[in-house]
Amino acid sequence: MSTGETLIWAEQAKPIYDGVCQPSLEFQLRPEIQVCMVGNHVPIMGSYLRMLAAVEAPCAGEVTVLGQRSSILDTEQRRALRLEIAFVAREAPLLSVFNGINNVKIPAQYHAVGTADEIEQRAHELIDELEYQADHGVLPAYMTGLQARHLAIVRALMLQPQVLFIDDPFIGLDNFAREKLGPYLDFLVKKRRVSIITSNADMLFIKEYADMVIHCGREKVLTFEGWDSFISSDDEEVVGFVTRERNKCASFG
Amino acid sequence: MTGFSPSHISGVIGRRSINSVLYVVDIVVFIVEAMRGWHRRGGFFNRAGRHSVVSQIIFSGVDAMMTITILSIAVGVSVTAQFIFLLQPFATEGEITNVLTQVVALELGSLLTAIIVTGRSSTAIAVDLGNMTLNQEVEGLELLGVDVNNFFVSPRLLAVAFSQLVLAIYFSTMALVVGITVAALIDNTAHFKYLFALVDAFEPIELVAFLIKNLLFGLIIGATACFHGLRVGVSRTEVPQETQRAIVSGLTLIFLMDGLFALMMR
Repeated sequence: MSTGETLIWAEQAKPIYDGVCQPSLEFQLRPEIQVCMVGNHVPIMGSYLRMLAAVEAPCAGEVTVLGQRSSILDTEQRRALRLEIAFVAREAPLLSVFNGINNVKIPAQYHAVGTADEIEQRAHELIDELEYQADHGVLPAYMTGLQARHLAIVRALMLQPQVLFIDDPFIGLDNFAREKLGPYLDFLVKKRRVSIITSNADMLFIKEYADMVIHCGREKVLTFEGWDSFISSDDEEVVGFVTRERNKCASFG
Repeated sequence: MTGFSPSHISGVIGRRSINSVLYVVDIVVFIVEAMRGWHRRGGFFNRAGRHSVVSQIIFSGVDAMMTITILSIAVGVSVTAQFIFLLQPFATEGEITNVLTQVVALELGSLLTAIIVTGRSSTAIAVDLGNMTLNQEVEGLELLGVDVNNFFVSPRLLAVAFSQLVLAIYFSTMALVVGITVAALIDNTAHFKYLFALVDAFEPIELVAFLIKNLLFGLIIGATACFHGLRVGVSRTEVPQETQRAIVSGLTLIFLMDGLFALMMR
């Protein structure tokens, strides 16, 4: 992966949600950055993520993902893209009938991204990167929220993607889990060299780690180069959003 | 009283008939699509797929052995032995052997095994897939490029078909051996002659039909279970509803298929 290349390029791209085309997005994703998507309507943000990840085609405009135009991809091509552009769904449900380790290994085994030993080794290597004690040989029902979320991310990383989409990584997690997961996502960008795009409601995380912020408003979608640019915007919708969030949490300034 | 007018009744019957035919078409297409996907992905050579097949065989086949054993012993005593007792005074050895092969081995063995496999595996698969769909576990894997057909459906179809075949062979063998042994021990040891007569009693075409029939039964059980399990949407109430549909549709198709085979083999 060469630095400086554009991994994902959205040109006036509009996702479809609930049968309606949403405001267009103009966006370029560079390698190894943390992008956070914020907004008031969570499901609509999910539709933008799916469009950018080429899970769904845009209803207008174009999204070019790793040089491939999303609007003309067939099902198999979209499926093949998932090896490069991994997507962790909202609340990241693991398969309830497999234990943690097996859950992590399934996509890698399915896509045959290595030998059995290589997959096993990589799984343990990735799991060990989040420093906490847990038994990963249990079923997801017996896991903590942090453990399940972590393993869902590791499961996606097993495919060695260039870009990782996570639909609200912090949903349902307590403060302890947030404090562990936030630096881990930053570690993935800096050390694992993965670009991460999240829909996110955690302003403290965005303030500390976001390289880009995308605000999904009712009328338009705006992109900002980092927290300072976002917080100092004079756009009416952004100001309204920031004010509401500031009232909820005074510490982000 | 338009609800009971002849045109309304014929309309209802017509719609039901069309829906039934379309349902069979849906199931056939579902099976074909699943098997095509399985082949493309490397089939049994794909580790994830192989693991799913083996797990399902253990559940549908190995774990069902005890139930099948008990039922086959019961059928051996209550049906096979009874046939021998009832027919022996006026039927020839060939006629009795023919009844045992046609009724116990080729018909009862397949049908009762299919009912047991439906009761155990169809419900489990439908509930399992239904809950996984409901909890978006299936979608979570799809978003990582895993094809639902390859990973969830085709391994289950293959495993249930293989399990049904092996269990039906086991059931039929046990029901005949136990029944003849019981008849011999209770009534007359000369009845052991049926054991040897049975070896030569099966026509090759009947054995091939038995093989195909049981593989199809297994495919039907697996397909209806997966089809209905994956049809669960967003409500928990859909899981029992789809499970019940999977069982009823599966059994209906199995009995129809069995009738069709019986007609073809005449």
